[in-house]
Amino acid sequence: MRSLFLFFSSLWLTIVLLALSILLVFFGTLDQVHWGIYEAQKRYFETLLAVWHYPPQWPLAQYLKGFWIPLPGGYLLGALLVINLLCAHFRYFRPHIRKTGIVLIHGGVVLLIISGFLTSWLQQESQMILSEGGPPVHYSIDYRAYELVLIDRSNPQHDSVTTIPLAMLYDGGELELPGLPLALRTHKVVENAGIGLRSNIIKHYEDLLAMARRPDSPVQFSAREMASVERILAAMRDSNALVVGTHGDVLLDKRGLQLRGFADRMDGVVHQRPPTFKEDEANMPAVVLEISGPEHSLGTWVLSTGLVGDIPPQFVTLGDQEWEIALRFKRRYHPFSLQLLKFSHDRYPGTDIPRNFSSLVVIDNPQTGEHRQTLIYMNHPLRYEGLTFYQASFADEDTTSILQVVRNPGWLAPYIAITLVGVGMTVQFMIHLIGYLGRRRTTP
Amino acid sequence: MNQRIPFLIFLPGLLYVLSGFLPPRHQVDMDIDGFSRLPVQTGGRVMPVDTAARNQLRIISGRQHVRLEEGGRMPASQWLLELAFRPEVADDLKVFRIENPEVLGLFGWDPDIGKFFSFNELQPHFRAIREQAVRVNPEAQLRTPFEKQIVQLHHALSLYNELAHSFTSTGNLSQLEWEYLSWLQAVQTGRDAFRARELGEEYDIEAFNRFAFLTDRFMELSRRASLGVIPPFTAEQREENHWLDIGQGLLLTLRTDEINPVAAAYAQLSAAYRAQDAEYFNRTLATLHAEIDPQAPLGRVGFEHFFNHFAPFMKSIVLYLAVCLIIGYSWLRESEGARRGAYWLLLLALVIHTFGLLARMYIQGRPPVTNLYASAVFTGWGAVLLGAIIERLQKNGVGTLAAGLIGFVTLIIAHNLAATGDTLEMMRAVLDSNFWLATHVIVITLGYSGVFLAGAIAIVYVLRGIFTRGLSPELGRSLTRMVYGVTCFGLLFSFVGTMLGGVWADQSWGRFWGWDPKENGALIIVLWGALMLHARWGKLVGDRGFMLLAIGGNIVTAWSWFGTNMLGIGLHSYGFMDAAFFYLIAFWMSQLALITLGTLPKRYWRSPMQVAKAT
Repeated sequence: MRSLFLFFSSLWLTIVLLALSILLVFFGTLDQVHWGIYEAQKRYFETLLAVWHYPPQWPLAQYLKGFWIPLPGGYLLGALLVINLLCAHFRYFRPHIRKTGIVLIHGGVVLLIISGFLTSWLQQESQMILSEGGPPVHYSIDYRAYELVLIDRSNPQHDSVTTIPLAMLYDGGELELPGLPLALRTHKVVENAGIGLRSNIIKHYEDLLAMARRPDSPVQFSAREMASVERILAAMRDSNALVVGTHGDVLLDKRGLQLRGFADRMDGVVHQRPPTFKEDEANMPAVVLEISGPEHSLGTWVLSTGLVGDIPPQFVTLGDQEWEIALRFKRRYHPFSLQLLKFSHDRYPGTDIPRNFSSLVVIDNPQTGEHRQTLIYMNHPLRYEGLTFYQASFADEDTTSILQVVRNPGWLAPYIAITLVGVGMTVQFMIHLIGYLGRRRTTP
Repeated sequence: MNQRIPFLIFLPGLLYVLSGFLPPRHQVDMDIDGFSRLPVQTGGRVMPVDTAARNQLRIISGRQHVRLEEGGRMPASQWLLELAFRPEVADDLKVFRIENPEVLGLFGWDPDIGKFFSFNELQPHFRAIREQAVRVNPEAQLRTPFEKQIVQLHHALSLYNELAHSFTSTGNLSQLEWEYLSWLQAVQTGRDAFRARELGEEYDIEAFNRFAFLTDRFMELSRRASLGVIPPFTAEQREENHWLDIGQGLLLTLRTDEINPVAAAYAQLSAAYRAQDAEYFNRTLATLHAEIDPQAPLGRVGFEHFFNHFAPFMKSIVLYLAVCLIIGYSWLRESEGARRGAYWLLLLALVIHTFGLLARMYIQGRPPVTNLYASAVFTGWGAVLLGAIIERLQKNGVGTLAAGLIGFVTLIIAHNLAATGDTLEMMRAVLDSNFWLATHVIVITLGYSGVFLAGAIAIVYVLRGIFTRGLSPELGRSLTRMVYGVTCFGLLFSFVGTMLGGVWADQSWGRFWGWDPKENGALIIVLWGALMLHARWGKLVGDRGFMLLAIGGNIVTAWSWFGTNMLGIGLHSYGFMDAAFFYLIAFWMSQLALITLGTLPKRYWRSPMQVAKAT
């Protein structure tokens, strides 16, 4: 026990942990190039163990391809650093005025690490999309989570919406819906997919191949890519194929399935894609779902977040009851709404360099009776009801404004922490400096 | 004699600086300097023609002047004058820089024939350039050196073309006044024809067509011209400080029924320059200044012209280099006079450097650090200031040398970063916050200064210890104390700067920390500083180990400063071919080599190391 305490309180451990933290942050940053910031954060900083692989794009990759480095993840290092700090404090600390700075610094660092854990667990991000002249919007969309919804529109006053997170569905899984006379059976879930009409997809790939075969083509495919496209084409031409994998293998056959809706009427098919990690792209999952009533199956539907636009909505009917079904990005509802009056995109004269983006919105909160205008612009977000709305992007030729919505209940902790560390460092270094200058003066 | 050495060192430096106040020399009696002072707007900013010409020429040829084949140099503003008014002369000047042998091969040229080419030499190959330019990889980071050069050349050619049509219409450059006069008539007769046509009455078809043709032509000109040469006309334009290009300026005739006086004066200037009529040229120039100057922020524009000509950072580079050499001499000859002279010279360089910083702040109306270029200038400045303070405390030349070294290197880096265009560019929306620019950015950049200064002192320690007998135990101890103090400073500023960045992020985006590459880079500096100090306090390293860790700080900070930017551009590639990446790797290798050198067993050190261990 004693030796354990000595180990956890040792300064060597501090050095090792700091060095490992540096390596973790360095390799995590390098991998952001491949995984994007969000995914790299999950793989390096919000985990117990991280592994860095030698990237195949680097020089000498043919020799070093299998090379990898295991590293303790952010959670593990953070926890160990806190333990190390606390143990060292009990082992070495002797109350003295000269040590106040050190105590403040270390207190602040502990709080900073804890606030990091809090943020990682509690912070939620979503986006609110507002169009000029559009209706008030009372929800924001989380593009990294998906939900299956069944909407009962029979009540003229309001819709009843049942949502099931996509994470609860898996190949072959079955699910009873409490409160509804329905049960779900999942035939296939695809994390990222293209979805479309079989004839369109076939035509797209045929055109692509024809273009790639032209000698002066701007697109150039390797032999492997050509073969892959040909396999996909062959699979798509098989009229029984419903879900086709990234390399052209048929993942789900439609025989034995009673297809309804889009897949039945329009010969819609699902084409699996590799998941994307780009910051400005979202995965478009698709699911093939059989829905049963109390007695028998009602049919099988293909749903995807990509099914929007001119594709008509799909419905499940049981007796005289009817539900619209869809797979969509997760919505976070708010007890208030925002309506965009005007979006502005100012540029410097004679250039395309943006000077400012701003959204003039109306907040309407029926609970508090608030109804007022506010301007959201660069470096000046709206803080409302524990949420921060900041101007993140825009679309549709400057008529649509996209606000990032952040909820971070632990936001105050880092402020306290950095004040502690900043003051502590200043105090400690001042003590050193005054001591040094004093010594200089006494020794000529 | 010894008393005089510092003066003998300082005096040439001072004279060199004062030479910047001499007016620029031109071979012709035309007032080219007056032309280079004319205010124009580009990139959203009003600047002297001189700056616009330098920036564009730097993008096209990588230089701020044209080297003439017959020897000598042509300054950027004179080059612009030729380009605008005597394109037949400009088109033979070798300004397009092409270094890639494959691109030269595309034109059937041998790499030995040089790397600068004229517009006329390139003209037969425009088709090939255009064809290749559309075929390049759309993702900039994945482009081959050949593709990068093609894109760069294509861009340079279109800049060149835009600049050539920025002052006048595209007709016969000697007879623009006639052209403008006929435009005035066309407006008057054409408007009647236009109105008659609208009313369905009989109208003069020829007048109508001429009017439509010229209007179209000036609208096309407006799309091409890249400089705002005519001051704001309407109240709204004045409000937005929106200058008009020459096409818009000529179209003003539709409202005013006269040729805009600035446009007319530029046409006269063209005729005068083509006739090489110095008297007429200078007279027209005076008219132009009288028209434009009252509407321009003249103080700033005139000052910027002086700033370009004075070139304070160039002067500082020379002075810093001299400082390093003189310190080396002072150690070889154990000359206290030379050390003091070098210190004075360092202070002079610091004054010039500071002047340059303040000048940029005044011209831009912003805190000193607004982009990567400015961060290089400021990092150097901070390190030199700290180094000068250290020299004042410990008069042994080390502070001066470390300061001179960093000042020299950072300004060279800045000089190379400037090749991308205007270094006083407008701030993109999210950065448009003077408060955070003045706090977060300044503090974190001073953190870089501290870490680099500690690293430079540590390098002096290693090199002097191994190769000379000059590293006495006392000096060793004193250097350790310096590095320790500077590291504490660097850690404090890096930490506070990083955290201020977090506060900015929280204030602007509602999240304190986003694991962005630049944030991570700053975090690594803080972690490294913490590691160094804990290793020191725990006596896990001695003097020498601490020094080697300080050299490691250079590696870490270079990563944070430049490495993370190289990642950030595209998400798929590291841009291995980029020259900047090559220099980063070279710098890392050099620092690793120094660290390895420092681990040599002490018996190989020429300086007595045994005693230096004591703390």
